[in-house]
Amino acid sequence: MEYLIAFTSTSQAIRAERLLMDAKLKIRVMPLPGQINVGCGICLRVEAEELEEALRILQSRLIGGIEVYQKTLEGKRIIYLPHPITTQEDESTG
Amino acid sequence: MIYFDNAATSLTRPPEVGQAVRYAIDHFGNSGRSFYDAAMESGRAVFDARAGIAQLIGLDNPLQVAFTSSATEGLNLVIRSLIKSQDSVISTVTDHNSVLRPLYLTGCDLRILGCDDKGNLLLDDLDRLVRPNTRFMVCNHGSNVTGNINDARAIYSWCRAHGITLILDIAQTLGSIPVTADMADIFCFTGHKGLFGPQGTGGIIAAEDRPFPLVKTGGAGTDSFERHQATRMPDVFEAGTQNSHGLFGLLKGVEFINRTGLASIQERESRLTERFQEGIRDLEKITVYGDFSKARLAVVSLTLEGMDSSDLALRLWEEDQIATRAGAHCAPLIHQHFKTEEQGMVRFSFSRFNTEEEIDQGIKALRRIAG
Repeated sequence: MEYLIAFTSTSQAIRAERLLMDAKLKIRVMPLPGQINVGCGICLRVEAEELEEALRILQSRLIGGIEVYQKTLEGKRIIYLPHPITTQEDESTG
Repeated sequence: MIYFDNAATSLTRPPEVGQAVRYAIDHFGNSGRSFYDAAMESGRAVFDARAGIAQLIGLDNPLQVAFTSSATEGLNLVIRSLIKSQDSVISTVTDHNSVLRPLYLTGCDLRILGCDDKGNLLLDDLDRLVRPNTRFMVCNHGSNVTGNINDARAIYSWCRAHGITLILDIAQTLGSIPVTADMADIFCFTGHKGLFGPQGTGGIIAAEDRPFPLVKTGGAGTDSFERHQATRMPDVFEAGTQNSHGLFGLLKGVEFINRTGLASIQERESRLTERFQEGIRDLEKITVYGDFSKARLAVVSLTLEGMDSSDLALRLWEEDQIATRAGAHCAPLIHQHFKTEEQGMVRFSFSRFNTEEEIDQGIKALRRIAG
């Protein structure tokens, strides 16, 4: 099972990628699927068994406004279901 | 050539800076815009440059560093974002036009702090300049003319006691002397001087993670369907494609400084500056400006009696291939203070890459011309 972690800005996404790569997690950068409307055009794909660790690292470094989605198949169509683990929305979006 | 114009821009750099720019221009995609390797390599380089600057100044969150094309652009953006015509603002007689002109443009009530005959700010006069609507002070950490270092901690302490936001111009100091995040609220820096990065790099550092009113908007790789761009750092000041080629070079310059250590750089530059100043101090026709009794930048500005600064700089170049900067150095108020508007000064500014032999040749040339 795969999860997507989406961010409110590309600079946050790249910072998150650095932090998770440093922690040796098997993450991949990918373009944000159109059905997710978070703002940042890139997101991180993370394996199910590493999701908890990834979120722990990101939350410990005060990266806010994260949304998590679970990749699921609905028939032949891929859909992304919102996951309840979502950090507080960044209030500085203009 | 002997290059003594390092306060204008660095010329001798760690070789990895140029190598990085050449690599980047052939390999980098657009930072923060896409997911494939070339785009991410660019994005990671920009992020690592933020992290390097954050480490240098002692900030934990690299996203509090926004990149601009120069310190001047950073100052323009911050001043335009925060300062309104109804504000009273304090600046100083030692400040550069990159501070003064954006302030003039706001139409604010600008109060100028003076200095003594050695160019030291008269900090006791701050209490006299403050008004009920004084919300900002904008000043440099170090003068590009006298080479004096302003007491940023004392200034910031006074600002905090009066509820004033301090915007510090660190164009002359970052990379040369310690600058820490607890010295001001907002910092504007350049990449091509003390940090040894390429021209076209610089930025804004917010000591706290705070939003700013928007003054520059456009494509940001984020919130494409919103009418307005995000106001958070660093996005708020970074509309448009980042100079990732230059910032990868800047990263290598910052890594060089973090590796070499500021103390070592400062010690070497101080030794060269003292050697030069000692070598010319007995010349009666030479007047040197600034306070040489305490820690200072590697800058020596001077006049030669009866000679225009442009003539002196030209002779140094034509007779000895010594590159200096003549004129007003874009800092009009300090020249008015020293009454050198017409004559100008010749500024010698050194880097850790200058040698004792070069300093001695500079002394020899000046002694011959001034003798």
